[in-house]
Amino acid sequence: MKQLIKLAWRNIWRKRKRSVIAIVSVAFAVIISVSLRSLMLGNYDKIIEAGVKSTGHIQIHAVNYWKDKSINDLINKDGELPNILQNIRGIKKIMPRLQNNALGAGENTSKGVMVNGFLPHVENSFTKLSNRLVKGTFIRDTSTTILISEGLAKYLKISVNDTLVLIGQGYHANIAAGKYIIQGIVKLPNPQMNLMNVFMPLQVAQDFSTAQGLISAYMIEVENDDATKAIKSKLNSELNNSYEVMTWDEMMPEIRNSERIDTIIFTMLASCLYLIIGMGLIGTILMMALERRKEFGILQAIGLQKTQIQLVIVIETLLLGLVGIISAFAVAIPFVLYMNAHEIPLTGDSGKSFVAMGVEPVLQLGVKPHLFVLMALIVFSIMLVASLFPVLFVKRLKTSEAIK
Amino acid sequence: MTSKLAWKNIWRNKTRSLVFIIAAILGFAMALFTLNTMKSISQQRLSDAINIQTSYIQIHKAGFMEDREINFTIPDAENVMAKVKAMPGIEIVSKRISCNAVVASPENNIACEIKGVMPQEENEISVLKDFLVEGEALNNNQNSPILVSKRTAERLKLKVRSKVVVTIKASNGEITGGSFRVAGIFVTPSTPYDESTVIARYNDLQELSRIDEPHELVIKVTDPNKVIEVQMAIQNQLTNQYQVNDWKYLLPELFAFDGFINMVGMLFTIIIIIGLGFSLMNTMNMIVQERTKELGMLRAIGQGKWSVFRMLLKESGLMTFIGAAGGIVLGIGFISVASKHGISISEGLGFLGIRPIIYPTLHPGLLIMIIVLAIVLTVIISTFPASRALAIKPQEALRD
Amino acid sequence: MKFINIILASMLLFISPHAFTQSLTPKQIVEEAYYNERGNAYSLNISIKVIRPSWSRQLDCKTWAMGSAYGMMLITAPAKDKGVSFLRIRSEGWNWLPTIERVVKISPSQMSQSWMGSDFTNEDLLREASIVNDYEHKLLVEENYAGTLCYKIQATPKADAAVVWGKKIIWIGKTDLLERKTENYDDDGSLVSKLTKTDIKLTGDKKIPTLLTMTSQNKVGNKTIVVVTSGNFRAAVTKSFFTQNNMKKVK
Repeated sequence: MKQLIKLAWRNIWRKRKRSVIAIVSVAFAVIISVSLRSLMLGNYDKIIEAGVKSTGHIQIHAVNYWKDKSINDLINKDGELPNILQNIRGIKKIMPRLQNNALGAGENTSKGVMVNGFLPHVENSFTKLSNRLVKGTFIRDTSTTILISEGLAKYLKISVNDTLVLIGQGYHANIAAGKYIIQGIVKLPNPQMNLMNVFMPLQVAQDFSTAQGLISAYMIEVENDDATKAIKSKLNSELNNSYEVMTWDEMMPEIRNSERIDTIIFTMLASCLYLIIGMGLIGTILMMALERRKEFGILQAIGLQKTQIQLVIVIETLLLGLVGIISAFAVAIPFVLYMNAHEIPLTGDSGKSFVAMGVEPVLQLGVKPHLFVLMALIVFSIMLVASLFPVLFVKRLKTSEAIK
Repeated sequence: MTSKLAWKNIWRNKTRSLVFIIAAILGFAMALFTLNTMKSISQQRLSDAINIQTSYIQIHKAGFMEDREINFTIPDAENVMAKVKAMPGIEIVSKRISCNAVVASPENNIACEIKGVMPQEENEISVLKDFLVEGEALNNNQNSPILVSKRTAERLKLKVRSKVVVTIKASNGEITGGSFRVAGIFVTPSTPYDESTVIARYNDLQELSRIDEPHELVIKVTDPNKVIEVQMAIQNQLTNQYQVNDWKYLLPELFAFDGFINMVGMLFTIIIIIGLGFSLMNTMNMIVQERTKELGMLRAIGQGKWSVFRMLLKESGLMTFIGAAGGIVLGIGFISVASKHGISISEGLGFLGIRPIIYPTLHPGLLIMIIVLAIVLTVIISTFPASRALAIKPQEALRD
Repeated sequence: MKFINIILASMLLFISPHAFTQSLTPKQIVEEAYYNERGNAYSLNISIKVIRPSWSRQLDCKTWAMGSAYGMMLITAPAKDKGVSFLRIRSEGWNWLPTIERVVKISPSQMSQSWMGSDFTNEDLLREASIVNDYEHKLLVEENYAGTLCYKIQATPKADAAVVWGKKIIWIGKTDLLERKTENYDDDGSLVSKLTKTDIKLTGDKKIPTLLTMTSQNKVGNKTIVVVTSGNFRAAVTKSFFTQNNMKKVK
């Protein structure tokens, strides 16, 4: 076997230029498709990450809350629910939230806002909201001051230490009205969100909405992203039907929908590319075999089995693919890692189209090991198919005729 | 002479040439199909938005776009309309009122934008009537008609002929309401538009809002390619208190998306052709290698260096040409089949204004782009192996 | 944002010592009943109870009105909302929120929503004399309702009226010309909500219904009850009482 591999290796380099081109073409296809897909997935990672940071992996609400987000459909912060949640394995953290809509008013202008009541010290390690601070300081659980998003501050022409007036409807038709000193301004990555969010300590939000002891959601962070679905079904079986359990992609279906169209585009492009590269490889390898008709005949004449010759051909082809993959990875892995660490800001029209879709206009590649495995498998399958032709050719080859 | 030789040469090794040609046919066909599908999605979004919502050019009072104040009406609008109508390249001009409103039924109420339109002109400007799923378009015989989207109808529990009350802030700052009857229910590809728009007659809304002039003049041009010229010409006719914008300004996201798709398309084509280039390079390599002796011979009998080079280029060019021609025919075939049956893409993209089923059409610009890129890349790629032929020395080649 | 509206001016009833008029037109009956409920001016103490399947909430209020154009209301309990006041002048409304020290104009989007989460819509509460001016009236029959002989009148909105209802059916006592019940129907003729007015008692020096119940037909268990606890129909309120300035200090 070792002999055969050695033989195959040597055969590859007999036609150096041809092999190099074959290898480069494999590498090209792999590098292009890996980079492109990493870019897409990296982009979705960012969207999903931003999404999950705003919703958590899972949320528990009062049943039917999500449909209308009515301030009257609330759940108790304390009591059975936190106890049940604490006992479920895989849940890293539970974060109570109280959300309400209100009218936010500055000096002369006003705008519809989302009021988020949360526990700063609990949530910050998950949402990292304090990292998004562009002005002022972060709030504590016991603060009576608030944070507002940067776009909103600009729109209302207010800043740190100014007062924001909020007017809305509270729990059970109570009047919700209050004025709050702005302690900090946070810049949220999603431009739409950046225009409409107010963050305040849970207690303050409960007072605002007259919803003492109540929350609209328990946001859940899971230890392992992949366990989200499993934890959801676990929660569904543990909780009675006065609750609803939703995962982030159920709360934000548009993310999955647009990801699907990107997947279609990528699949079309990658299949075009691999089809073309594959045809090229098949041609090259077939030619190599045809050219070596005489050589095969001689090998058979000196006693080599047909199967052994076929094996050499298969090994040759796979080696070609392997070298292609290795060289592709040698380029792609550092490239992907580098581009993962250094994001490129997008400007101009394409940037605008990102912003319009509610996405931060930044290109960052995702690191997806499964993508590399997938590409390697595709290349190996193409190589196996490519080796099929010469193998069949050898099978039909008659020694006597070949030597002639 | 070299062309004929090139053609003959291609068929000396049928297998090799056929493999390359098939690869090229499939590559070109798929590239053409994919690009046209993508472009069609982007064009569908754009043309839907232009044909239903904005048309090509709009005139507002400067500042209206920012504040949408009810009193930011277009001064002396009739005069402006007459002026614009008299200009070349204008198909139709119509006026609209546009303001924020609350639409209420006994069941529920929603905040949205109400547009007051001139029924006849609007039917020529907007294709909204084609998206009616129930009822009929606005006309002058109905009694206070209003068009609502299916989503709005569902939320307010409305049917055709149902009554709704529209509340707006009138020009004197007073809050005023009027009752309308649902004349038709529409579903457009764009969910945001559907959720936020209801349409009534200009005169009804004018009476309700008590404004004298429209907020918006909507202009359809005869030649969509000359929008910028027409827009500039109109702006030159008017003072600074009028703001004249084309659809690119009115629909910035969609315009940007179209540019993005063009970029992706170009990239896609380059990648496909480079992929094809590897095959071509290898094929040419083999040819040069196989025929070293023969090429040497040709040189020896007096053929010039460049003549041999040209022959090789022609050979590769011819192969690519056959592949490209076949691919384009096949691609157009794919597109015409798809344009008949439609391609079902992801549901739930209405929030981007993308229809769930797309009927791709052939965009000649893309065809030209593919052909040009194919020619350029073929020449560049096949130059490398062919240039090796330049280095062949007749004596040495013949010796082996 | 459902909150606030001016209600009360148009909600309260007031019987004028009506002459025993004969052969009134249906429109006159409705008009009489409407104006019987509203004197020149009054002040009343009322409590409003919003009832929902899973919760209920009560507000105590003081209200003033003058003619049909002016109304003021002040919340006196619960403590959290004490001092919140509403002002209505014709079809416009304002809301004073002491916690933020601001007068907020009621915007069109709030106009058409329920008042403070109750079953009253602005249609019921805000539109000045809507039942008289916006409808065509037709006497259907005279029938007994809740032990009283009543005119049963159908009110159909005029073609151009900004009214969501398809029609209203109103029962008005034949002798006292006081409204007993109103049913609101949608376009298809199905009942959406009904308002009953019962417990006719001497309040101040007038006999008026003191228990008003608004029930939603489509939402089981939803209703709003208004109880008039005391009143004064000789209150000396003038136009200058109904100002934005006064809504901040009224007690």
